[in-house]
Formats: sequence, C-alpha cells, structure tokens
Amino acid sequence: MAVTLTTKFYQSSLWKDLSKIVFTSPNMDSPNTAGTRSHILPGEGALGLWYEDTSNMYRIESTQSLTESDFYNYRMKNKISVNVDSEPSYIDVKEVNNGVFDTYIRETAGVAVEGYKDVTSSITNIATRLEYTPMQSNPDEIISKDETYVTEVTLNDSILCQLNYDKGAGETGCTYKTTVYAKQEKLRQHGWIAQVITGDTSCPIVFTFENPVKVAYVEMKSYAETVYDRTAACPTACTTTSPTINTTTTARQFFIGNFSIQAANTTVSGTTWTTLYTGANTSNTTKACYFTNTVAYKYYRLNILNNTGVIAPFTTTYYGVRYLRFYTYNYSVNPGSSNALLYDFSDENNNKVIEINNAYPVQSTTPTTPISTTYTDVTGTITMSNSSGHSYYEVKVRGTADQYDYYTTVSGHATTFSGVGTMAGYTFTKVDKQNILTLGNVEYPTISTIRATLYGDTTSTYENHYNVGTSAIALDTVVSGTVVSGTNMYTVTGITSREVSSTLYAKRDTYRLLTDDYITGSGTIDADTSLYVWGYDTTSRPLNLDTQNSIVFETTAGEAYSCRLTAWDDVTHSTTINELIAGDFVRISAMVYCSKTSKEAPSESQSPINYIFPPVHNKIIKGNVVDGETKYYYGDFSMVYRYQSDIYGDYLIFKPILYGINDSISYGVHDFIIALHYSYT
Amino acid sequence: MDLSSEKLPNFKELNSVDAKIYGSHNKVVSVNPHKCRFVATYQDGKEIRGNDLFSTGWDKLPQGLSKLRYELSTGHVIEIPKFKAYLNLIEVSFGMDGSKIFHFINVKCLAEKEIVVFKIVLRQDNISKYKIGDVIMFREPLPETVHKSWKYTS
Repeated sequence: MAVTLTTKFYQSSLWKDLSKIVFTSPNMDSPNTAGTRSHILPGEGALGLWYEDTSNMYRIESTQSLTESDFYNYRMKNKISVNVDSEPSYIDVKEVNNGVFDTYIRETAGVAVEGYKDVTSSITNIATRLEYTPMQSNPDEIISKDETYVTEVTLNDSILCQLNYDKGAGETGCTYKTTVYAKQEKLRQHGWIAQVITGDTSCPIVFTFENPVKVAYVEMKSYAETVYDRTAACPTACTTTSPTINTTTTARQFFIGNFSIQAANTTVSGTTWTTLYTGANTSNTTKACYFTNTVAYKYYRLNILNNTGVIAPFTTTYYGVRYLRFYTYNYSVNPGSSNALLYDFSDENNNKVIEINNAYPVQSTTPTTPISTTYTDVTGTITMSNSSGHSYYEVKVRGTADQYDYYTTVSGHATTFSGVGTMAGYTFTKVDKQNILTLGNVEYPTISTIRATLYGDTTSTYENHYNVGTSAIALDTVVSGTVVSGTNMYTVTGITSREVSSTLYAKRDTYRLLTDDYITGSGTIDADTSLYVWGYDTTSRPLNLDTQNSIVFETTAGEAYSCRLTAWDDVTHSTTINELIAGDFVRISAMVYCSKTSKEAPSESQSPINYIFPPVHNKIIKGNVVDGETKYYYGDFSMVYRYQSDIYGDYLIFKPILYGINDSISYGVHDFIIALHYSYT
Repeated sequence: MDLSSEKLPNFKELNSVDAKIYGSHNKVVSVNPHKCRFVATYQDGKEIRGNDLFSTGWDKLPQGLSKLRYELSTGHVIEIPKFKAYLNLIEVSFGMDGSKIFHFINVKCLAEKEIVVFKIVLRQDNISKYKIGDVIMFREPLPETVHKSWKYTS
C-alpha cells in the first residue's frame, strides 16, 4: 500500500517536527533559538544531544547517554495449533531455546537450579588445562546468572549412636537408635574453579564460538563458595541426649591472578594464540577488559598465568572465575552493565512473534505418573547372638547383582519372622549397598528353619533434562533359609521387589505461557511456529530509550516495507566517506513497536507493547555495510498502520548517539545524515 | 515532517527530465519523480496511467490488467513481461534533514514457482555501475501470503 509516515520528537508537552539533530555543547538553556551553536573541541567536554524544529533547538540530553539492552528474548515453538481469535488464556510451548530460558523458568517455577559445572575432575595431568566449550552462536548466551548460588552436597553419610531407653518396670537398656547425618554442603556460585598446581600454574580456559566473532570487551568476577561442614560424632557412652550437629562454615573466594586474553582460529597442536589483552587481578572482585580487536576469531582463551600478587580476600590454592562475559565489537566500548547478553535475534524477522503478548512461563501442571517394578535376587544371613534363650537377631541382605539404589534415606517399618513371630524394636540401615535389619533382644528358642520379610520405603527427588518430580520407592524383601549346622547362623536367599511410583513434570518441552488478557494477533498459530517471550524489568534492567529522548516515526496510513535505518555521508545517500561514520562514532538505539495508546513510550509497563522488530542499543550504523554476519544498519522490517481501535502504530523510535568523540577527530563541523530507507506501493 | 511530502530540498536543477543532487564525494543524477509512472493496459485496450512516484495510484488500479510498462522522465520505457500478477514497490530513502533519494522501482512478478523481480534504476552517480533506466533482474521464493496490493493479470 501507499504509506504515510511522519517523524517528530516530543518536547515542552508538544510533538514537534524534526528539522535537524545537533550534537554540541550542553552549556546552553533549552530551548534555544535554532541556529545558535556553542562549539567545543574534540575530546574536550561532554557532547549534548539537541533536536531542532524550525524555531528552537531543544536539549534532549546535556550529556549523551547510552541505552541498555533490557529485554529478555526467549525462543520456543508452539506445541499445538492455537486459534488466536478465540483469545486463548495460555499457549503450550516446547523446545525452549537455551539455558537462559531454563534459568528464568526455574526462578519462576521454583525448580531447582541446575548448571553448575565443576570441571576440576577434568584436570588429568600436571599441565593444568581447564576447558569449557559452550559452542554458542551468540556470545551473549555465555552467561552465568550473577549472585545465583547452587548447593552441592559433597558428603552425605549417616552414623548410628546409642541411646538409653526405658523398658519399663525400672529396667533400662541401650541400643542404636539415633541416626546422625554427617554431611558436607557447599553453597557455590556459578562459575569455574580449578586447583592451582604447584610448579605449573598456567591454566587456560578455551571458549569456542560457532562462528568467528570480534570480541573486544570481556568482563569477569571473582568466585565464592561457603562450605557447611555438618559433621557429628557419637557420644562415647550410652546417653539419652542426641548428638549435636556441627554447623561450622568456611567461606572462600577465588579469582585469577595474572592472565591474558588470547584468540585464534584453530586449536590444533602448535597453534599460535594472538594476545589481545594482558592484565592482573589482585584484590578487586571484578575485572573489565577492553581491548582493540578488528579480527573475528572462533576461539578465545582466558589464559591464567599465575596467582602472583593476589592478596586478600582471595585464596590462592584455586583459580576461580564467574560472570565471564564476552562482548562483540558492537559493544566494545562501555556496553550495558548487564543485559545485552540476553539477546539473540538471529532470526527475529518473524511477524508471528509479535502476536502474543505478555506471556508468563510456568511449569506444566499435568504430571505423568509412571510406576515401575523391578525384582532382584538377594542372599544374606540371619544371625542370632545366642543359640538359645535371649537373643539378638540381625538380618543382612545383599543383592546378588551389584545394584545400588539412588535414594538417600531408608527405614524399615515392619518385619515378621515365621517360626519366631512379629518382632518389635528394630533398626533398618543401608550400608555398603547392604540392607541390615537389627532386631531386638527377644526370648524365643532356636529353630531349624526361618523366614523373614523386610519392608522398606523411601522417597526421592528426581530431575533430569526432561523431567522433574518425586518418586516413592517401596522395597519388599522375602528371604528364608535353614540354620547352618553347628552355628547360630541362617543362610537365607530370596527376592527383593522394588516398586517406584513417580510423579514427574515435563521440563523444557512442556511450558505453559499465560497470555494475560490482551492479545493483538488474529488467525491461527500453527504448531511448531516460533514464538518469543520478551520481558521488561523496570528495576534491574532499566530502559532509557523512550519517546522523550528519541525521534519517533509514526505510520499514519498504509504500509512501508523493507525499512532500514542507517547513516550516510551526505544528501546523495550513497557514500560513507565521513570521518564520524568511518570511525564508528555514529550509533543509534532503536526499536519498532505498536502500542495500546497513541505514541506510548516503550517503557510503559502498565499497557502492553508489541514489538515489531527487536531493539538495538548503541549500534554502529554505516550505510548498507554488511561485514560477515554483522549488519551496520537497523533493519529490515515492515511498518503497518494499525487501524484497530486499541492498537496504535507502528512506531519506529531511535536515539542518535555520537560516541567516543576524542581528540583524534579533526576540528570543525562534521555532518552526516541518518536516513530511513523504505518501500511502498 | 511528512515523509510522503513532495518537497525535495536536495534536488538541484530539477527539470522535466532529471535533477542533480550534489554531495561531498558524489554527484547523483535522478529522474524527475513527478514525471515517472506506470502504465497498465487492459484487454479492452484501455490504459490507466499512474500518477508519479510520490503517490503512484497503484492501489486504485483495477485487477485484470494485460500489460504493464513503466515510463521514466528520462524517456526510458520499460516493458514488463506478462506474469500472473504484479506488485509495484518504490524504494526510497528519507534523511532526517528532509533529503530524499528515489533509488529503484521494484516490480515483483508472480510466476508459477517463484517471484521474478525487475529492479528499475532511478538514479545514477559516480560510484554505481547502473544508469537510469537499467533493469536488474533477480528471483525470490514465493511468499507465504500474497499481499493485497498484488494486481492480477487477466
């Protein structure tokens, strides 16, 4: 269709026609008469951003500010066909894109955090080599969730202590009754640690990217862990007091000392790594590494050299690092503090993405309940402490196969001895893969044959890549045998049945996205259609790209196709021979969206926004230049006039930025033109 | 600022044939966008002539045309072969200073298994090898949906 577009900016409570964008000294009042300039020399003083209409120039920012990436971008596929016209309250999705989404889901749904990777065990020889190869197509996806801890139980065992008890009628006894858990628990941050080996302190961490990228900025933080040593010891004498569990904690922090950041396009033996940055961490807990890099590399290496010079609070026995983030060339100078890393817009040009709004992922509410039963032959012994009269009976049973259950606790709750009777007073433990039943002191005669039935049950949490849930495990063992001639021991054989009843919730492929009460789309979204969840957090990920500081294009009629925003040298819109453009000083932050009310700011959290095209922040623009997979323009997208009563747009907003103007720029007035390319009928 | 405005502040020496656009490193010669149009012919011999490049009139064109050609202000006439349908797209760039450049008319043609695009050049300069009136052809895959601005032939 034919199209009508307008471009305006908002100042003094009015929308104004844009005449010119000016970067100049901020030391004037706003508004000022158009044409007035207060020049500054390159590299001296902050550049202010001004928009000019036909009468006045308005100071938008006294000191230009960058914008920050602030939107989640989680991709998945529609699981079953959805009729959007029927305003569905939810959409079930599958094949969520990556671990970032998993983290988000887990934080939302309360599922345990997974992802800690301790690769210390990978160190197999004296030449320390710690490798982590995430194989990411987007370096932004190499991310550790800051300040998120995981718990690792490194030791879990139990001991039995004797307890005094009252048998009644003034008679007391002593038996093993209290189970005390000796447990070591580590509260760790996400990250990587490796032991420093004396005599060979080098430790390279290699990162492999799916495609070569120009990394020009790396940031990292120190790594911390707290160890809870919950050990306990039994009292030396029989007592009625339960032992106290030790709660001593030990906190440690690790970081890397002297290091370099290197790159290469191969890792075969003999590869020469190009050193991009050399630095050291001594006592600070964060490190930012800026460097010049004009080459796209496939492999990057954090090459830890030694811990020389590292001081408190760090421990030097281990290297530790976390929050390791790589930024590409587009974000080479002072990127957003934390968020650009969540972006992956590789195939964003899918209009169906915009149809669903404000979705909230939750865990699937429909569990599966599989039941499985396995049988195992067992052998064992039943031993009497005496051959007649009062006697302790102890039953030991072991599977003939070397089976090992993964449950962590077990308790017997009933037992019968045929020929002996139902026994009271027992303990049931699991030691060294062997079920041991210890019976009380009972007064029964020795018999030649015996039959024992043992019951045990437990519960277990269960989690793998596909499911999370709980399992109830019931064990039922029946053994029988005859007394060994000349001894007080029965050799018994039998069978153990193990029934596992699980309640499992599917992970990753069974998330439900609630669509809130506002859907702007229409028609049917077929199964396997790609969907996105974009989120906006006003607190932790502030948005500073807004209608108040941007230039706003509004579609007032028709449709514009193949739109792109870029920069040219002059009015011919054909060359980039320009000191500012060639030096990558010309940047924009931009986004395309439609909203519920007219010219609504994209940061408006009360009213849903639909994003037509993903935002970019501080993006270098330069004609129609494409370098590898990097496009030096913002596009391509379509803008459509929305004629619905409660949807306005589409809007393209952008904020121009002149970044890094230093004294390398020649003196004088520099001009360039930001232009919108588009097609119409 | 209205992007569809007919004001062309960067066009110099505009006449009925063409105009010059002077830059720092390049000089562009552009067609006169007021004098460029499509001409659709119908089976009964009737011709419907488009307006100009600002407001082409394409969307008001009836279906069922039998021939399509383009007439440029420079005298170039570009005949488009017969296809099942046509889509007329004007490719333009608009600078924040009000400058405007008409780059191409992209005529998308619906064939049996593909889209054939005729890219008619509307400006020439010291850099590009293409001259006004040149036609660049290429193919595109069939779209998932057919736009309502497509005009079907009889």
